[in-house]
Amino acid sequence: MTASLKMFRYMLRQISHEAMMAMLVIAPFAVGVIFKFGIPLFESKILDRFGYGDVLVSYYDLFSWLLAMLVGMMFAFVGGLVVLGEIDDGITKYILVTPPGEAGYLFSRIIMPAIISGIVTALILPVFALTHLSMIQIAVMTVSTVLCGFVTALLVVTVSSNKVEGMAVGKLSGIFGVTFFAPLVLRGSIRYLFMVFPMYHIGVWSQGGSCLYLMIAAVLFALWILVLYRIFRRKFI
Amino acid sequence: MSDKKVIDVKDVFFSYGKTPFLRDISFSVSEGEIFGFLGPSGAGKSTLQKVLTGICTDYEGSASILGTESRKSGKDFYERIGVDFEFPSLFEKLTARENMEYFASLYSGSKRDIDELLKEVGLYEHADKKVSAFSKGMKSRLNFIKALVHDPDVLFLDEPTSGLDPNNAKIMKDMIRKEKEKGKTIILTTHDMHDATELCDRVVFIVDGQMKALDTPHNFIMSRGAAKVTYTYMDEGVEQTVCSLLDEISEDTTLKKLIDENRITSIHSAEPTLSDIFIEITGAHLDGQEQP
Repeated sequence: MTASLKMFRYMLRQISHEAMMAMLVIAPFAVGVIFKFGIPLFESKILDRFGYGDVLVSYYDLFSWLLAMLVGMMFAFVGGLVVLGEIDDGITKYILVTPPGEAGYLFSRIIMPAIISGIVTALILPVFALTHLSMIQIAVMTVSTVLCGFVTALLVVTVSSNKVEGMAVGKLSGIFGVTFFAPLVLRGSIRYLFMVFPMYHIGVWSQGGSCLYLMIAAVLFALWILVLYRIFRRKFI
Repeated sequence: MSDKKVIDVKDVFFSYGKTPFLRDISFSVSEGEIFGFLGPSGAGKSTLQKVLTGICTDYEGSASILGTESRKSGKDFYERIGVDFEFPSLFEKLTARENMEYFASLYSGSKRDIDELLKEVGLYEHADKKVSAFSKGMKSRLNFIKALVHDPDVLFLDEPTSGLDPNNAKIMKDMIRKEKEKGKTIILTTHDMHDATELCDRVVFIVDGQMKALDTPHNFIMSRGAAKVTYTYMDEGVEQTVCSLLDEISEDTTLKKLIDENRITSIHSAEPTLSDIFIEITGAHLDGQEQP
């Protein structure tokens, strides 16, 4: 086993010892169950009873997107909190002078959770989605939410100076993901305020936009990650 | 100590911003040597250590450690160096032994016996206690042996005795000497002149990011003022104090007479300390104040 994987294994151990972080890992699955069974039940038992009809059906795809984002962001959030704790303990600085180094540390704390979140997303979407999703939809959801999670982890570490602040920033960084819904729910020029966020363009694509929006999103993701990584690195050293 | 150069630094310049922070640093360290960086806080000692350990790579000049330019440091490089930062970097929620096992697992080469290391620093009985319950001194000792676990060839120690009580500081210094006896090359960063005098084969004075002087502690002391002998005696009920230079002591007839008459009440010799010499050469105190 490589040193980076050993570091990742230890991170899992840290998560299992902290109830809050363990809950963050479990949360997407719990939400998946609620979406899958709770929403149709709510619709049939409550909304139907009061005469609203099947108003949520047209939003079923959005629930799938929300679930996908939740997986990426929660896993990344956990990685970010672990890094913050290790910065406090001086571990990150020490890792720089060990064989895994900065690359190994980043791999174990940020990239591995992102990869796992991608796998989990790809696996749970077909199970918990309320509508049939095409392979392309699942692929875009998986990649975009992995990148979204990557940005979340970097934001948590760069903006906050301790775990408490990290919790607050983690919640706030949810805005980064929910810009996906801006082109769907906002009308008029105000929605263009969200164009700097890559998930906005993914949202446009999901509503039948061209593949150009995916390319714009890819460029914006790269820029966000590049800028945040530079700040992250300064904090690291 | 052999003649083989393990560390070779030539014309190193480094800056965090536009103003150079380290300027024109050049020195070499032989295998088995303890080499001290001595200077006040903020002088650039720790930054120089960061350059040597490959953490700061944007430097000019050359800094070769074990034949590897530090800016090109990779896995093999870190298998061969050990770093003990001034502030402990330990997992607070793990036990001492778990910490050691974790950090040992990051290296691929042969490892030293963890229990032996824990015994050497008096932590064996506390090996299964969580580090969060450790005192500052215990954390410092654990942090130190953590840097030794993979048996590195070069050790970078940053203020290893800082905050330790005299007994623990002695344990630490004895261990540093043992590592030297094993042929390890040691870079000791400190502002404690006693540690530097006791441990280092050579020291470099660093102030404002520049090397001000480099020599052995003995040469520094011998080249700057002779040792003095101060003695006291009673004369008509009043205590008298006399100070003589050690190398002129044979000419002190008063002292001879007092010895013959057994009238000396106290006698002691004093040499200039490394701290005195540091102030004389650099015009700065080791606590960072300018000499008035």
